[in-house]
Amino acid sequence: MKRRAPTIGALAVLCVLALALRLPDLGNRPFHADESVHAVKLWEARQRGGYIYNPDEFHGPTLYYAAAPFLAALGRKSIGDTVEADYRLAAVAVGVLLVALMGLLSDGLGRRATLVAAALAAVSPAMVFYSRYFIQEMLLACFSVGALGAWWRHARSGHPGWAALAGAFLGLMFASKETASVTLAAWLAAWGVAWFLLPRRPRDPIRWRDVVLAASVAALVAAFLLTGFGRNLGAIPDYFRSYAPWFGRAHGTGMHRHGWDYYLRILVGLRAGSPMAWSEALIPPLALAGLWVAVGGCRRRAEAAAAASTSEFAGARPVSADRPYGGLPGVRELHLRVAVSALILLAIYSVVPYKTPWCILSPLAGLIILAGLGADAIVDRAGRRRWLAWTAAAVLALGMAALGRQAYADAYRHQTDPANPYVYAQTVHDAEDIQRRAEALASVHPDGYGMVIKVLWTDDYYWPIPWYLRRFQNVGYWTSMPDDPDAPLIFAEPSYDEALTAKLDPTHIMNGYIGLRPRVVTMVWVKMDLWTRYVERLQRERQESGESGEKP
Amino acid sequence: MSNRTQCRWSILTGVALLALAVPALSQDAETVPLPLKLPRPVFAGTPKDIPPGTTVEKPSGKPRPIPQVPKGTVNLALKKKVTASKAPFSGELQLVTDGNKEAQEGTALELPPRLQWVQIDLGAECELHYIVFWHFHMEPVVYHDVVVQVSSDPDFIEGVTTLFNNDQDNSAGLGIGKDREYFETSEGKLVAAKGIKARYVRLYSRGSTYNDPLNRYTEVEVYGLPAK
Repeated sequence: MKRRAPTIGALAVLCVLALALRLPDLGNRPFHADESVHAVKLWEARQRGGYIYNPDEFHGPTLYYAAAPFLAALGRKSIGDTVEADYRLAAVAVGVLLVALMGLLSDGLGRRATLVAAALAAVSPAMVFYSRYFIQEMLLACFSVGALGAWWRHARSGHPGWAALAGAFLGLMFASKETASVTLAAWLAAWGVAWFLLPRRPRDPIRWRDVVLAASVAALVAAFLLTGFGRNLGAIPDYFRSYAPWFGRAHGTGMHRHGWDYYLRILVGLRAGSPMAWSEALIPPLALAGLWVAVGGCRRRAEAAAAASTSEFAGARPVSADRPYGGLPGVRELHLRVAVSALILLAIYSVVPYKTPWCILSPLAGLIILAGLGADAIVDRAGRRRWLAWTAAAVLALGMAALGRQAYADAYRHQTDPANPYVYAQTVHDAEDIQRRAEALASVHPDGYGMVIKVLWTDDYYWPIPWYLRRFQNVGYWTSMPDDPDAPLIFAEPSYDEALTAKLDPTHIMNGYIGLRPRVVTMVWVKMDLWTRYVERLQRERQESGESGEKP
Repeated sequence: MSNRTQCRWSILTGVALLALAVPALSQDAETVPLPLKLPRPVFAGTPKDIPPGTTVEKPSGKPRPIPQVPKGTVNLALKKKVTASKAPFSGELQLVTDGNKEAQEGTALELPPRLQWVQIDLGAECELHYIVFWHFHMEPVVYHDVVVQVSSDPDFIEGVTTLFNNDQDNSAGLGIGKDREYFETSEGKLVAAKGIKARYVRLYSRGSTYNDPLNRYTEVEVYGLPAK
């Protein structure tokens, strides 16, 4: 316990740092379309009395379950009561949990490597940015670190409880996002690589009983959550069917199609034409050093360091470089599997043409663990000369400070700036005007929030409009021009301009465009009598406030 | 001359008079294309992206059709006296009617920010058919609260007719306008006056999407028939 206390204490400090970087001003960025989808789907599930899995869109339900305690604690009774920050609390919690879960690997990586990895996870701009984002990606990354850590603890202790916990994390991964299968594939491939590369294969048997236990728990957890606690068993075949549309999307179309080096460029800051200085480049070189350690360059030293920090956690037994523990992976296997799986994961995500910047999180989590290993090896090597060790530590500390500074700028100053590589198809602040304008018009409409609103779009991608209309009871959505588009308030894609002018010009006013995302706007049509009432009220307010109009 | 012969002569005279009158009448109703000469464009096309916060109409992408006007229609505003709501920020008032509508430095009058107007005195009450105006067409900017009024009262209190108004929230206090905003181009904005009779033309605006809040007027042309 005495030996564990400093590590746990340092991890706690890093968790507080992670929390401090993630928690403030969570509403400083409008909901991304995907975030708004999940907020609306969460409440739809609540109103329906249970979650129903959709194989075409929206991924799994863990995000909704993660948000539920926060919404309950805040006393939110309906979607109309909520604001963006309420939902993002769940992502913050998961982002901090990821930092804490690094502790599970402590005696596999070594204390210093673990703390460096946790620190990198705490200050990485991508980790910070997407810990303030109500999407599944941070959950997937967090649960994957949890699964890795729990499986390592199982390897150390042989206790089936750890295998069950690893299985639970794996189940949570699958219940979060279908791309959990990519992570699992990378892990299995890494397992295979380690199997062939490392010696004493025959003395490294797999405990099939615990593998079956972990797989069973994973399947049960995933099925339990995906079926809405067993209410909708059709979700299980649907989940397997979901891979058809997702494979279809993997080819990437339009804005989601990017070159193979997209993620590498984000990581090292090479973005042609970007006006914003950007880099997360501390992590890749450290990860390369970690790869060197894992592959064998610093093998003995790293394993000795790991051996020195053994028995930090309950149930841990000593490990040595040459003795795979209890027939299960030893330190060397862990390093190699982490390294290979991180590289395979990065390679898979890079090869798939469909790319969104948040998909970097899962490979990045692996790279961060590897970077911890690399940093530890560098300081360890430099330790032969004291001044060199201090210099290495100082450079590392400065690099981390730079990352933290970048993370802060990213999340609090450039959170909607398209020059920020993590800002992607971001809803613009102008979109908040949808809610302001609808509510202002409802205030002079006899039906108030019962006022009929029609949203006319050419496809299903009218998000985040439903979020901004969340307080209205009578909102209809069309993906083609209806026979009768007439309504007091209409939001429409600009391509409907001509058709709406022909149908509504005598009775409505085209009240302007409101931006949704860069290059995406919605038209607003308002019934003339409603608009006149609103303007009259505006004028009364102007007169009451002493403004005499602006007649020059 | 018998009554019968007298009657025949009367009919013949009537027919002859009618024959003479018809060409004369048709000559009065003869129309010609609006004698509008457009300035040289300094940019091609209009922005692909619609500026949020505006009501800008989608450009057709084709040259604007030239309307027909009665023969004898001329630019009544050329070199006429111009007044404005405020002293110019830069430039002279006469730039508005000097006939130079090219998008060049120094061809536009600049009025201070917020709602401002320029007014043109045509010198006499005339029959107006079209008003064309260019705020600033060096870039495809969008001007806000554009209102065009005509009247024979220089103070615009009596007999005011609004020909164009895109001030939707009536912030100018001239009534709710249903017209759409538009991109400034070398074509200018063409507003039909439908033969209304007036002596004064007033144009309001409240800044634009340009990078400063000034109100610019490069040229205003008022097409109609000169007072007899």
